Amino acid sequence: MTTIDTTPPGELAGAAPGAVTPPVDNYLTWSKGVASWAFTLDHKRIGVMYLLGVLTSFLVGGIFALIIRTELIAPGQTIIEPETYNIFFTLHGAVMVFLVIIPSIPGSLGNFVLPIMLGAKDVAFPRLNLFSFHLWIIGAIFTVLALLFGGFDTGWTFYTPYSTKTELGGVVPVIFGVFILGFSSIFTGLNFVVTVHKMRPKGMTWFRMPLFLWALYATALIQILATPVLAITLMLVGLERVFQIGIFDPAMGGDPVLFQHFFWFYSHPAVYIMILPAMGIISELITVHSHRHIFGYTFIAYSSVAIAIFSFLVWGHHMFTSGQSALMNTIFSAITFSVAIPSAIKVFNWLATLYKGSIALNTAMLYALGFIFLFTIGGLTGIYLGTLNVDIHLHDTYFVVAHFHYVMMGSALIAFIGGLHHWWPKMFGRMFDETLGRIAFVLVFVGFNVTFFTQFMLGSHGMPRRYYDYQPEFTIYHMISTVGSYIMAAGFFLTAFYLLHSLFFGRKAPANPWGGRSLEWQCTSPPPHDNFKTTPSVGDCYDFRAVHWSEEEQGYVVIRDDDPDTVSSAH
Amino acid sequence: MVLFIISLAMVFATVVLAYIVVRMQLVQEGDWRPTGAPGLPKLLILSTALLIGSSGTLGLASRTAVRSGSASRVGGWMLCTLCLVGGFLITQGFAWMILVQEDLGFRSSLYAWLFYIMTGLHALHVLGGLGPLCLVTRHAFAGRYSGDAFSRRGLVYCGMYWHFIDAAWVILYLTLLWGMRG
Repeated sequence: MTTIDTTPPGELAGAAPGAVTPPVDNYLTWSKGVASWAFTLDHKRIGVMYLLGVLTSFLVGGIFALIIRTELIAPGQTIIEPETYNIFFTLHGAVMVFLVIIPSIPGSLGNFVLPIMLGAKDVAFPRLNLFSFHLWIIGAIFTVLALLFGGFDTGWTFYTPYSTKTELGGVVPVIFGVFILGFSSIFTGLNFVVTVHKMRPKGMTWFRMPLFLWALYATALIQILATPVLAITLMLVGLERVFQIGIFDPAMGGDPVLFQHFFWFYSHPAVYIMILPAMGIISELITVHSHRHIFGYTFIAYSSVAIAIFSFLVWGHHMFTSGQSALMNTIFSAITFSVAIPSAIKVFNWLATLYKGSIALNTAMLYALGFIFLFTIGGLTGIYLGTLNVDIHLHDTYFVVAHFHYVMMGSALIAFIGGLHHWWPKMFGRMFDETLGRIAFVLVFVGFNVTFFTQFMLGSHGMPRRYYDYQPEFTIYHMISTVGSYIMAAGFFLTAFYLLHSLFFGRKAPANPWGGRSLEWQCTSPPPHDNFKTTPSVGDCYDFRAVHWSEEEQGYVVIRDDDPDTVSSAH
Repeated sequence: MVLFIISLAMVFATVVLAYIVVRMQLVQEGDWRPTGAPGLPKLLILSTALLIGSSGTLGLASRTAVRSGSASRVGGWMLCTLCLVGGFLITQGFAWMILVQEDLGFRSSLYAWLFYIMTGLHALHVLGGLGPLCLVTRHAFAGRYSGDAFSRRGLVYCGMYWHFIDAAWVILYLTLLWGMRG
């Protein structure tokens, strides 16, 4: 089923100027030219292109965020008009959710790492993989087009009836864009599920898979099952907007709350599409950088699946104030609490892994530790919001904003950045500056907490979300929050600087700089075009006794006692 | 393939659910079916029979491929399937035309709107399946499905999709029939 691009190196014209062909073949230099990237079937190149797309979108979404925060630094108008503000916060949400967080980890890191972790040459359907990347690009273009059509100010949730009535012309393009992005997401999910089922190497049973793969697998299942609901719902909204008739229009006897049900039936699982791969990354980071066998492997694996299942049963907790029956609210609230169980299982297992490990405070590990801290705050405040009577008070306030930023940004995105640092040497073959990395982490971490912890206080004092203007007594909190966002931005710009710097001036990375045990650390950095010359054999991917420091390599090597011939013959 | 079908099933399930919710709400308020609005055209019974028939002939095609592997016979069954599917689409088109003639504009009420959305969504999926179906028919005549089980996978996947489309229609049709009451 696997198709490998068979174009020999150097056949495609248009080499990048100044590129020097290194002696060792790797996927970056395997063939040259724009077309060899844009139409590649290589999962690694697709992953890198996703990474580029996601980071660009992150920059765009981040700039919107900074504009919003600057506007909110003082009451009244500061820099932008109220209408522009509405468009900007909507764009911030839509870009960050649909273009950044949802595709970030599965699309970029997942695409890059998943086949290598499996010792495979590529994903099961390389063409489908490329297709879903192209869909992603098209979806992104439509989202940008929406701006040219006058933007949209519905919030990223597109709640009806407002989204079918608002005067701004960008709603239909953006709905279409998100519709297409949904397909991209479904195809990526299908690809991952099939790859994990069919392409595991000899010896890698389900319970010997790296935990990142378990997380991606669970994520892919949610993507496949939940995204179609969003697709059809958005299509109905789009048709309703065009023809001015539809099932969400109360004037015709339709039901706008039905839209909320459908929307959250997708969007709550989508939250786990964001967080599950992040948890997978953290499982890898914690165990590799503390050089200790993961604690409670099966519990972490099963809790991923459990979260995936629970995710379909809790959507109603977004709608406690929408007039659901009290019985429904109670049931949703109770199931919501039970999500805390698998989440806590993961956190405690990570902590137990750290215990008595030899922890290396590398940048990636700092992000992982930061994740545990921020995720715990995000998760626990989630329990506040899942409690019915508290939610009535906190509903639609900055408390909610702070809560989901702790989970989506403080957890999912921080894990993404951590994973990026972890696999950066593998992706580009260069080491980044650790000192700058640590400084940037501190800036991001401090900035994040200054920005969003303040918003918990704002929210519990009653500041509603999405408002353009506010009472003067909230000024101090808003000011602190804005300053925090600047600190965080400084951290991210510093990160961008040293990562780019490392591409050109970084020390060459060894195959295994952190002492990882899973398969991606056993091919060179950057990996050759077809990953492994022969199918590698696998053992326990968390058994770090086999990992030894090698002075000669300036990195770690895996020497297995049980199997002197570490590379078995090809399949 | 199974996952792909489950994924599609979620789409249809959503629409069916939407239909049920809206109908129940409107029936409560007493303005579900506008007075004088036409019921389901009888033609739908014919189209349902055609679609079930196509599912059957496709099943026969894959059974023939397993038992005899004769290219012309497998191809013949596939051709029957294609004809039946074509017939289904044409009858659906006629059913739409009849309703339009009876003045059931798709913007007249949610009752009409939902009928067109549901049948339209299903028709789109049938249309989408036509391409692969034609390809499989061509391959069948070329004798590609006379080998082992692996060589027949195209036929098998096509069959899975088609049985799903068939089942989805039956469920949609039953939902529509139920919606007519009241």
